Amino acid sequence: MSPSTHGLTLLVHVASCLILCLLVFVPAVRADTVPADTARTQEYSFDTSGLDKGPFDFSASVELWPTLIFFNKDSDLYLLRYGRENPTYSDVYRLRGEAGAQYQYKSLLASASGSYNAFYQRLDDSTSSDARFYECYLKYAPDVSFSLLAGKKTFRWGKGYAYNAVSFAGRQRDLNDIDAALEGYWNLSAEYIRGFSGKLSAFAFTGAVLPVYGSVNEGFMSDKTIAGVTQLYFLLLDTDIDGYFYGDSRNDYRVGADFAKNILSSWEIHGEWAHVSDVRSTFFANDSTLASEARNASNFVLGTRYLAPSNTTFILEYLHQGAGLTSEQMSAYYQTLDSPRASEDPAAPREILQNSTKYYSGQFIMTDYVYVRASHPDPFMLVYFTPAAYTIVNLVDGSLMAGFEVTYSRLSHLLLTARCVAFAGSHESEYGGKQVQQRIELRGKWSF
Amino acid sequence: MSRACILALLTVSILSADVHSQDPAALLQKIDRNLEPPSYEMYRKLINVEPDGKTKEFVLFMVRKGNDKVAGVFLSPPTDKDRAMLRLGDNMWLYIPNVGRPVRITSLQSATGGVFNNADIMRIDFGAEYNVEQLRDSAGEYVFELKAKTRSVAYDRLRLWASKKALLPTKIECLTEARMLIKTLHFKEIKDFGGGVVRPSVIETDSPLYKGYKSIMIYAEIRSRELGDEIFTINYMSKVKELRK
Repeated sequence: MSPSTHGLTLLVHVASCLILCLLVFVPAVRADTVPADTARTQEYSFDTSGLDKGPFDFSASVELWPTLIFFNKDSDLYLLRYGRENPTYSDVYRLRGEAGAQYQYKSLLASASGSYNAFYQRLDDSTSSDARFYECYLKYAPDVSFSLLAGKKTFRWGKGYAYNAVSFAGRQRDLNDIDAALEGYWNLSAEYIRGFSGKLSAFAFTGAVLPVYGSVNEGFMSDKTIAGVTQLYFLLLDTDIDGYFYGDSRNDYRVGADFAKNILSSWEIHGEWAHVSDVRSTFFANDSTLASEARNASNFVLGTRYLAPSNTTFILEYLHQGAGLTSEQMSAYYQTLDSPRASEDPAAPREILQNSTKYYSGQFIMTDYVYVRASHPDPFMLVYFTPAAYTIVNLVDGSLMAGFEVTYSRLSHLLLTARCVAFAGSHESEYGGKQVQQRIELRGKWSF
Repeated sequence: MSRACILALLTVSILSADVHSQDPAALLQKIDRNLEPPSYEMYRKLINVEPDGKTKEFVLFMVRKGNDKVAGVFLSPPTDKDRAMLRLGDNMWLYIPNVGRPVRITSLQSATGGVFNNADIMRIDFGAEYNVEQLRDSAGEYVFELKAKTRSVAYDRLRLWASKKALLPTKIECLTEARMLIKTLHFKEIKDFGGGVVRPSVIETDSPLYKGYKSIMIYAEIRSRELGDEIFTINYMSKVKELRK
């Protein structure tokens, strides 16, 4: 394909992305500004007759999410995956439907939420889809201070924005989709809360048992393991303080703690620390074979959030993963990515790509990072617009991922987000070595 | 000296004596109690009005206990449904269902956009946050000059006008330390909510920082309710909506 044809094709694809968004979202915007929502409110009416609570509650959303990806042609991962096919970019379309329902009968609450995701990539004309429950549980709460729960529930522990060292019973969030719902684990749990007036304002205990058996909680721990987790929370002297404990039937243990406090109304500080026994990491050794080692490790996060007088919010965090991969281990990985192109075994690239996806595609695979985010609502009197910029920098190899996004929340049913994410660094670095160099996303989430 | 002058002087002295005979802090406490019962639930609608008249509306269910514990959950719009807010004195948290854990927020931010900030939505007693620096009389109204007890509140100073008869606010100016006006709250439409609660049902806010914009807060179904301290904890934030009857 000649460069001019290539450019034209790219232009057509970008235009089709935009047209698709306009076709979907503009009618929604128009529908959202019907007279009922735009009527002037001189009489200040507030009809509460429709606000009576029924036993059944339902909410749902549909999200359309076209993405344009520009590849990093210097990346060994790219060369291994695409070789001489040499694509410059790809457009990807995601559709996500989420729904949640609750039914309450006296002290019993049944709750379920989940999502359906569909994915299409034009480059290889591939489609995929999946459906999953985020949560699905039955809760018994005889009073406000005590509850028992059985089912699938998400535990979101920790105070960090980018990373949670103490997330012993949960999954790590996606930095580029930080508010996305996460799938929980099947468990039996109990919660006890007490509120006080005094220096100790609140105390809470959460204890849970999580079994791993076959497809139940698969991936959380090794098969046929039972894990117990505990969280103790205190609001003491206006400071959130948590203690966390984990133990399982394989004698592995984890302990952790976190805190968060407002030094001033505009300045918050937070921190997390966790000590984890027998963290197993798998990596390519110097001879390009897979090796694995287990060791005890400490992980921590130290962070702050500051609201400047200009109304800009800054978040700064330092993250440390004691069991992250070292520079030497990453060098062996880059050598491995380079080696199969010289190999005569046609299966070698596929096997390396599979292992690369499995062991090297996490968000924080090395040891030390800094996360910075700045957001500013309503700039230049553009009410409901919130631009934000963020970056995560790998302090060991100097590579980084940076993003810029704008959200628009004017409409009652629709949240619009435009985001551009770029990866930078040498081709033998964590973020510079990724096969994607830039990504542009347009997202529209219709809630009802 | 003319008779009119003597009459005017007498009136001023009588009114002044009335102001000076009052304990300003006790008077402010009465205003706090007239505005809200000690422990209650309520519904509230927030309307952000743009210069062209377009609006965005939010509906909250809120509960409050004592002079410094407030919790609320958004019932609409759908994009904000089930978001919950909690305030314990100077501490404030926001719970977003997808995020699944409470995050500390500040009183100066706004969960809804528009002129109202979090402190306006999650307001606690004036007496809990401010000392009365001066109390004076103006055209049949008390005028309180309030100064923040700590630096952790949203506004360093408030100038509060209250009707002498009803002991309810009619207007509040929110000021910086240097007395620069940040916003003005107008209390309107006094309504009998039952149970002895008679208070303004509408608060309208405008701000020189948001020229042409205004925000309106409408109160409904204020009802006294016994509430446990446990409700005002971050562990309970995801369950505040379950308190609705």
